[in-house]
Amino acid sequence: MRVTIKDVKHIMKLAYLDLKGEEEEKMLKHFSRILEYFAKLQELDTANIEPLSHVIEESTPLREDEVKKGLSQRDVLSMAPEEEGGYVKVPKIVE
Amino acid sequence: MQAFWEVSLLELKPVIGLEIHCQLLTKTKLFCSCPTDYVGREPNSIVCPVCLGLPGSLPVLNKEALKLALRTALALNCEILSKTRFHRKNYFYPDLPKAYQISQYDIPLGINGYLELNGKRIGIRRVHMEEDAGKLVHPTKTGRIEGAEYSLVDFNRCGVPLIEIVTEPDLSSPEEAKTFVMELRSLVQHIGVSDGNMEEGSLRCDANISISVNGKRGVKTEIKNMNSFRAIERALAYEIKRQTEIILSGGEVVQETRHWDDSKGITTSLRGKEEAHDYRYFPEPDLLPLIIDRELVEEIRRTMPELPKDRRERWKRDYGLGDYEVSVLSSSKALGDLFDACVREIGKPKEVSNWLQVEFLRIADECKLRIEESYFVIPYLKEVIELLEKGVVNNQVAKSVFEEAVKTRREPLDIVKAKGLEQVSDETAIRDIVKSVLSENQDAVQSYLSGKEKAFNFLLGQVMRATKGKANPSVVRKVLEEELKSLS
Amino acid sequence: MELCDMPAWKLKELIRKGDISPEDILDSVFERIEEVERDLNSYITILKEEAYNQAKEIKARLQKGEDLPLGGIPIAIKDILCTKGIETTCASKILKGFYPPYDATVVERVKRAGAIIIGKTNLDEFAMGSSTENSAFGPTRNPWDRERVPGGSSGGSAAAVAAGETILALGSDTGGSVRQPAAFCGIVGLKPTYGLVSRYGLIAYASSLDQIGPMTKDVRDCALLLQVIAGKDEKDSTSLKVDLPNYLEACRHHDLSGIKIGIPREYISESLDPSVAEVMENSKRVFEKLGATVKEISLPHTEYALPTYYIIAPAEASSNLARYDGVQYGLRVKGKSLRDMYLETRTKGFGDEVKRRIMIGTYVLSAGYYDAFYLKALKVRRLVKADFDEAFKEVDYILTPTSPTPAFKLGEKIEDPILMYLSDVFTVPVNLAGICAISINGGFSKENLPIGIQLIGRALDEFGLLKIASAFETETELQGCRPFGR
Ligand SMILES: [Mg+2]
Ligand SMILES: [Zn+2]
Repeated sequence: MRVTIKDVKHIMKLAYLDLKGEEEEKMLKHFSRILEYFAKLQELDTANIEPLSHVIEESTPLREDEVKKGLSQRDVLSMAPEEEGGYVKVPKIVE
Repeated sequence: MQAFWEVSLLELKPVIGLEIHCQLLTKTKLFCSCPTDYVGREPNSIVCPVCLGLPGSLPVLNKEALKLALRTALALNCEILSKTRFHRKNYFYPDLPKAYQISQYDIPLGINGYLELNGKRIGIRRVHMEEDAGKLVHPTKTGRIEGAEYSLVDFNRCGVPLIEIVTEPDLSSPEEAKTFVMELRSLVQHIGVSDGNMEEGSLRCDANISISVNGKRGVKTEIKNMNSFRAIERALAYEIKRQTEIILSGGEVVQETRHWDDSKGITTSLRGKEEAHDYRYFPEPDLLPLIIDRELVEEIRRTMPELPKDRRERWKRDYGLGDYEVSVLSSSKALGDLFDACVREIGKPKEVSNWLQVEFLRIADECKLRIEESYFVIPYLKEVIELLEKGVVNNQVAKSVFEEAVKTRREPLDIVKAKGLEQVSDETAIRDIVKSVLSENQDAVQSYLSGKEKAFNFLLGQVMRATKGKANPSVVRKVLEEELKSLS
Repeated sequence: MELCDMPAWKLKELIRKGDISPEDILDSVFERIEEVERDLNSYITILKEEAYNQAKEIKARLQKGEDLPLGGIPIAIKDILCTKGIETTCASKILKGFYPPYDATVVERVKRAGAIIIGKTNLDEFAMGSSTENSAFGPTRNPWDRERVPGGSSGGSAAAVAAGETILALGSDTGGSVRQPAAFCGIVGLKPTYGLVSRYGLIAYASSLDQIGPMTKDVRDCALLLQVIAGKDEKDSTSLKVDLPNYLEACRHHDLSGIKIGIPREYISESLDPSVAEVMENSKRVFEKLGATVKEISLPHTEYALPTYYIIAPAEASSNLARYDGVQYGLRVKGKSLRDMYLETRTKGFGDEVKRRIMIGTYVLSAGYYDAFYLKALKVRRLVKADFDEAFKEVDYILTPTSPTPAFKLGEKIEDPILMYLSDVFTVPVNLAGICAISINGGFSKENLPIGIQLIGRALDEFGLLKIASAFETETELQGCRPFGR
């Protein structure tokens, strides 16, 4: 599978990364090399193999519905780069 | 481009499917132990590392949320899958702290269910659990995002448990869609899984809608931002008109997501097919698959609260109520609950139903009384019905006494006594009044005697007025008939 | 031998006998840090003042007779574990200024056990790398040869333990990040069974593969630290409910008769560095001498494990690292719009390797490629795991080199990602299968570089691993060697 600069640009858009010029070229080069390496997997016939997403075969544990103390508004705001009136502030959403 | 006559022969049919999100009535969030009652809270005050998506934090599933979700799926006649799992739905937005929503994707909790609507089965494609996002505040005059110089994020709602219910495209009109959502709301309220409050956003509805042409499925659009039952009906009606016009003018409907603007009464394009998100779903590695305990499912089935349709049947079967009465009483769960409570206390379902539907609802509306907080009326109603039955007061007086009792919270009997409202059934006293009314209304008497039956009711009314409404109407009727006869 | 070069269990004894105090250990450790840290760069944050304050507190607790399994022992924490109120960076610019409001479960546990946290160690940014060169805070150097890398991604922890800049350390291992640096630095590193140690507070790289592991001067210390951090945690849904054995007991038995050890033929290829091959030969003889039978086995899907790993891990990483967008914490590069802020923050905040893996991960999950890459990889993951299941029907443990070469030179592989990835070829399959493995020193190269051997065990057989590792260590006395040991 050949990767093109268009693919790289599309993926950058999905991943919110913005590489330009040389960086972008380098990414394309490494990308191609890595994907070529992945092609190795196509040698294997996996038609009847169940995908393995979790190595633990138990059911996910359940938690009782009891309120526990969390963080304070101060905790949240002290981490935030910008805040206003108890809220976390972000730049305008619509360009 | 089709010719006009071909167009005119087209059979156009709206095809509607709904996607409904309900907030589950748990104490804590879906994956952490923060409280869920975010309404009216200080921003960012009910959060923890998990729902804030802080680096290193991990989710643990709320057992109660699972139970409520299972209850919903069972109430919707779904097949419960034996092993389900969670996926991550990846997208960037400032109200989504992890940049993914934990949701269910390929294996939801329940599939292939239905909800009956006036005898028609509306298919339920799937029922699944997911977490809610936070809330954005846009400091503009309208509160809308357009024109906002910046936005503010409140993470309190993050992680609140939701159940998503997706229907098959079985709905065929805006009205039916609206009725479906009302019925579904009633269902989730009855089984105690959600308060179904559309205004506060604990029930949200999106729609997929297309127009089939001669039975061939059309291109669908997705409608968002319908925040009331009325909005659902209006938005879908608008969209049907819009799509129909496109089809009839030979155009093609574009597959896209559209936004309902309630104030303008139109839908506008939000994003097209090309801009559609690529959510890159994959199994959530931080949660193990969820193996559904069959015993738990059976227990939930056994302890299922009465469903709205069963309740309606019971009212018809056991109480002999008619369709119309039942539909009024089941318009909200609260009213139905009050009705059942009244019947438990008073008996006489027919009378109780009448009183609640006509008198109580009018008074409650007038006084802005919440039905949930109206259980104090039960003893008043009981007493009023008794007074009426014993003939202490007549029907008219009973109604006004009930109204006053509810408004002033005084015992009906006290009111009757204080105001001297006891019914007058004494024939002699009534005959005197009748005689004087007849002599004062000679015109009416003459017109009655000449065959105009209507005049009888006028005279009856005059007698009642003369007794300040306290006279026993049947005695009045009898005496009036006798006196008129003697005149003819 | 100075205190900073001694294992924790020995120091504990000295404290108990009243020969030394926790402050004496700190003095020794900080003196060593003073001496070598400028060259090695093992730490991102050093907590000297806090450490002495903690020491006072621990002394008081010890005097009250509290039983503290790690009482007064300095520990270094990989800077990928959340420490309350202490900057936690993952060696990334994007987390600069992030002070977590909570402790990771393992941090809570080592604190409760009386350990003294002396600093946060360097790593490859977000644990993505095998050399600790991908750090926003500069590379860490190998204490055995400063021209060489310490391995990665837990290179800071490994170098600090080896150099006497700490007694104990915690690392995290997603594809070999505890074992490979342990091997390169001549120390002991354990990758526990997936689910044995809580991941709560471990900043995720690839959630289905990540495990926290002890990095220690010898096997006994490894058992000591594992005992403290292992066990069910309600906050981690992937944490297993297990009855923990007494791991220290494992370090008492030295007879390995009846034990069967397999060497996978796929791991002993001609591309193996001769010095590594030699160490493998020696190790085999040692185990035989100890009474074990050693035989050749096969793990047929070995060559597919690495590409599988490099699909699954970046896929999960692309999702795990999407939250770093400048909204809530850490770096925010201002932009005219939200979109600009996202782009600027992420593009400036992440280093090259992290961006590369985010890109790869996003690609393999994206519409049209999911089946061909991600789903395929999940299927091959099952085959890799099945290989181990089969092998463990035949043998009790598997012996392999930890890495195909000893520590390589700085810059040697940084330009070629595949070459760098190959450094993990022997460690990655263990993470895919979710089983446990330990790396211990198996000998030295001609250049006097330590060479690690890896022992792989069945799921939850850490006790067995410690037992045979301890037997090997006692027999060879290789684990005592220190770059600055005097
Ligand atoms: Mg949804
Ligand atoms: Zn929370």
